[in-house]
Amino acid sequence: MKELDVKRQLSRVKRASKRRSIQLIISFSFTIVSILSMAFMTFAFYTNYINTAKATAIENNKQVIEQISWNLNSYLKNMMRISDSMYYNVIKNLDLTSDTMNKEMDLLYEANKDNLISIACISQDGALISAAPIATRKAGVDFTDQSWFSSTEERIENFHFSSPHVQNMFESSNYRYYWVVSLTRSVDLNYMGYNRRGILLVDMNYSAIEQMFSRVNKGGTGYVYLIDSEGEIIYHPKQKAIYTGLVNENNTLAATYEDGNHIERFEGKERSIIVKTVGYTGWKIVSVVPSKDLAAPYNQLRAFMLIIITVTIFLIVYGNIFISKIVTDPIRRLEDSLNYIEHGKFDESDIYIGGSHEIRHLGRTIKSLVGQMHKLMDERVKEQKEKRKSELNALQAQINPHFLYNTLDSVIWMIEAEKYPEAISMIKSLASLFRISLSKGNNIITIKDEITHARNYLAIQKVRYKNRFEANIEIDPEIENCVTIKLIIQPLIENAIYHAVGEMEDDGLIDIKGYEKDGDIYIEVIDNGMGIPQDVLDNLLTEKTESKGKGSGIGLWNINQRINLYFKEDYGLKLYSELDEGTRAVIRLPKLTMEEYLGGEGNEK
Amino acid sequence: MKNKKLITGFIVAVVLLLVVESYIYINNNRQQKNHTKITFVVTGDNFDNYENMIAGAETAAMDEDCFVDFINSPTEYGIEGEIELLERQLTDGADYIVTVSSDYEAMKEYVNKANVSGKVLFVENGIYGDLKNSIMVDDKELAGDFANYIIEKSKASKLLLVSTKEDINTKTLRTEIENALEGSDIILEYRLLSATTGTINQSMYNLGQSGFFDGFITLDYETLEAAAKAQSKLKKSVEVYSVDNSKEAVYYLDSNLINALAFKDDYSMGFLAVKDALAGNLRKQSESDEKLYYISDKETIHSDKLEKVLFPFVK
Repeated sequence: MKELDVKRQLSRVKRASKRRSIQLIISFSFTIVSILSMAFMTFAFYTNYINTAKATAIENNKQVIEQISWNLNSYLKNMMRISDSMYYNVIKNLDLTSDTMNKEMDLLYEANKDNLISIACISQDGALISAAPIATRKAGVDFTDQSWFSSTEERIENFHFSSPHVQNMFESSNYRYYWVVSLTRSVDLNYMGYNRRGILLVDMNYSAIEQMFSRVNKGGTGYVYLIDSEGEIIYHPKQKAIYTGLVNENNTLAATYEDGNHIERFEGKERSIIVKTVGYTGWKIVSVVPSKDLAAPYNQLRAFMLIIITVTIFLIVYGNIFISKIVTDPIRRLEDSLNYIEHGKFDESDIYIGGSHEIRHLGRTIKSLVGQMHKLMDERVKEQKEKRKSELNALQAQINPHFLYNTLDSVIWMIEAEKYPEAISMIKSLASLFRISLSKGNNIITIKDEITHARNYLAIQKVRYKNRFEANIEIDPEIENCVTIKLIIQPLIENAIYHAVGEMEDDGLIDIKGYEKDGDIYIEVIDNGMGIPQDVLDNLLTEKTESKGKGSGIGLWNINQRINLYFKEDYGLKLYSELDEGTRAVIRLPKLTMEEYLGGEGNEK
Repeated sequence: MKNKKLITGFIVAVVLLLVVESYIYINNNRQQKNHTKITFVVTGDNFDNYENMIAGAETAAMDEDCFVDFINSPTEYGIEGEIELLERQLTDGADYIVTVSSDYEAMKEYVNKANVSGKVLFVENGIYGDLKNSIMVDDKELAGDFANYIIEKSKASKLLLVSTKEDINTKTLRTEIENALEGSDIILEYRLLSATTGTINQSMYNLGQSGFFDGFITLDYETLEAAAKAQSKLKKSVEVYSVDNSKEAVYYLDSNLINALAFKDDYSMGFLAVKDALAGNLRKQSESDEKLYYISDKETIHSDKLEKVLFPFVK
């Protein structure tokens, strides 16, 4: 059942799409427009939101970078201050032979030992002059082989920051070793009144830098790393993995970036890079956030929006179908009404009036038009009917000139033969015949008058045919006052005489019967003539465009048409005939008195 | 009436749609929060020897939806203790187990029998190339390279190869070193020493002092430590070549107590174990071609690359 329903719905949709129904057009176009608008708005909103979110995330990262930069700067400044302090307050003012240098160095170390691993003063030839904390130089270590030593020697006027390295110059206990960044500067040493060049080494605890960065790298997306001006990694959360080749980093390219925000593609992934250069050192703090992670916190929002969008699309589609149905239902019903009219059912009451004001107005207008059309058509039919009636009546009213000539000739003959009473009777009959024929212009007369007319006619014809036939008239008195159309029996008698009994020797018989049956009136004219062949009989009541002389059958057709026009089509003339037996013409009329007939709508005499 | 049906159908459809989408939404969130849990079940009384492996595993897990946990099975409980821990972790919902077992063969047998090979990775202790789900150092290659290094650098004519155990790794190293030195000018002798601390220290000192050997090749931590201690006491230094990956080994090398060190890269093994587990385990044999060991001596220990590999950052 449900399957059938679905099939029916589908075929409805197919039909609707083929016909391009208003409902389909409205719902389809509204849906398209709504979805497009919504998609555009959602896209614009989402893009804007995500871009703002990304910008905010980048801005937050920038702030983090600024904070790290500030911390690192402070740390480095502090280290440089220690170096300055050691140099300007101690080394410059003291002789190398003095014990005070070691004490001062120890004091400075103790005050900053959280951030320092060691302070050392080394002569130009690589001899250790002083160090704090007091430590033993490892066997085989040559300071001049160290990279920081050579770089300081090359540019004596500057501070030098080395790459992070394991401090391997002094003995340590318990398998401990330290990662340090060496801050070095060239210094002038006083040795017994002579100036000698030396190097002041401050080994900064790399762990302090590592902690600074690892705090930032804990949690959140992306990471921050530190490179020197050449791109060498100073700190990276995956430093060891990078050195062992397990992970790659775009540090060399990052060294070429200006400070600020950059977008780069690395290993097939887009990343947002923020670079901040640290003063004094030329180091660069690099923040890396995969672009997809910038909007990652909004994935949930995206999923939520997708739900909202699908629900909204569903609402729109459903709403559009519902609204278009409400709008188009009255139109469809009106269309159904017009279909009825198209198929000839002109019933004003069937025209639907409902829906919106415009459609109600349209319905009322169509109803009014149908009413007017109906009226005009009725008038037109009536006019046609009247015209037809007139034509048929006029045709029927024509008196056969031969009949008149023959009758008058018979009268002359009777007068000449001095058969005055017969002549008078015949003239009376003829006068009565004419009187009834005229009937004051009325076409509807009583059966009694019509029978009288038939009697007169028979009387004339019997004289003319010298009584070669007999005629019996047997009319139920009950129906005598009922109405009939005038001149419908006489033509039947005329046909019976001319085509049947007129040619017989003396045994011709015409029976005229009138009776009531099943509420209708039947008048039969029966002759015992030769009968009519079936093929002729079949054509006798069909319409003829022109008369073909005697026996053309126009008279019979005329009788039938007139009965049909005046009464309903149920009534009329029927012919029955058998060869060598005779013919029976049966007229069926409604049983109506003159009053009843005149009381009917549109009826007149 | 017809409209009423439409409205009812509409409400039912909206409710159904919301229910379905909510289910997808909630399920999606739940899936996103479902981190992979990888547990390292390692043999040992503490994690001192696993610092590098832990660092490697944690680095690999850094950017991933992954939770890494390390659990040690004290050596006194042996393989049974390791298996019990492994079973408990699997029951507790660990997605993958990475095991550093004291008895590779027994653990392998258990994993195959328990049909959990899809969830267990073997690391460090075992035979290279034996299993797909393993990240091992190729001991044969390491031993061969190290033996060649010794042949090239050593001035000794007789060396003593020592170990305190005869597990699969030690056996492989011993066999390969013996094979490699067989045709050389160096005479090699092997001794299995007692693992008791006092005994082994004394033994090594006596052997060094005896002058029968010009040096030692140590194959485990215990013999390395004893050799380093003996070296520091001996009046006449001997050559010491060690295979070990402890921080002490690096210290001994940096302190000139040993001449060269073949160092297994625990950091990379930890890193790769996590990456492999996250990638769906079962690393293909062809992909495991990375050399997971380094040979370092006093000259190269502070080279740019080895310094960063051998000395983990102090935190």
